[in-house]
Amino acid sequence: MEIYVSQIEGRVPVTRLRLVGDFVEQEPIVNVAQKELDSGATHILLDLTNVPFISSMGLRAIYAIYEKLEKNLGSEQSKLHEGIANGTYKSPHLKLLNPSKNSLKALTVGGFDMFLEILDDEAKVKTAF
Amino acid sequence: MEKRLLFTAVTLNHLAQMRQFIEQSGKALGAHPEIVADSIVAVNEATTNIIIHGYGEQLGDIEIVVKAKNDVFSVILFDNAPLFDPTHTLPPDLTVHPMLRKPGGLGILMMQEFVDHLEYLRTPDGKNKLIFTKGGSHAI
Repeated sequence: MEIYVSQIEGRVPVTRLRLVGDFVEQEPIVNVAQKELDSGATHILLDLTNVPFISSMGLRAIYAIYEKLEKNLGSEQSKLHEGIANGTYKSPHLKLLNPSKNSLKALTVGGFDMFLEILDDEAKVKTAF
Repeated sequence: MEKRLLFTAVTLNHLAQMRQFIEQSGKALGAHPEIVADSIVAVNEATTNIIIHGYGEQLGDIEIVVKAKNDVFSVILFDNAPLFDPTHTLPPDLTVHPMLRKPGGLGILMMQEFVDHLEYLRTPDGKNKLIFTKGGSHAI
């Protein structure tokens, strides 16, 4: 899997991590995300446009990045739990772009669509964060 | 009817070829494309786990057998990694919100959710045998 990092300027600066290849490993992408967080990244877009498949290791990687972001930014726990309870919570800091049909199956089975916004159009990225 | 292919010294770079073999075999055997597509998601999870966790730093082989008969589609994996029965792993509790679940179990969930039946056997010569079946009465 190859990982490319770029920045998107919108309402907030967004760090785009573009993955190319099967998303079946955890460590490489989590390490890259950690490096970006250490450099001050607060909003991350995982661009899955060129990812044919996501395995459970990929799902764990996405969850690890989500946890690191929320921990770094100290998300308000009461609002978070309220959102989870009423089913309206979506992470304001991590979003996914263009998963393939098969990747979407994995994300849905893992329940990731319940707390991560999945964008299907690059034009929506700037306003989504 | 069946198709069979041995992949030697497998790495994660072989995953796409394995998926392609299953897809093309399913098509050649007349299986429904959606059934084949779902089965590939489940098998891809298993082959990934065999390569990463089963063989680890070693290079090993995976043999894939694809069968189709009377609307029943099966994929069988054979590998020489240390014996491991993934069907004994507990899947996550889906009644709990994903953010509040205990970690683990996603792999077996991925394998079970996309097929109708998942069975593990140890072959007489000491290999892992994993059978994914979808459609019909789950038996060929």
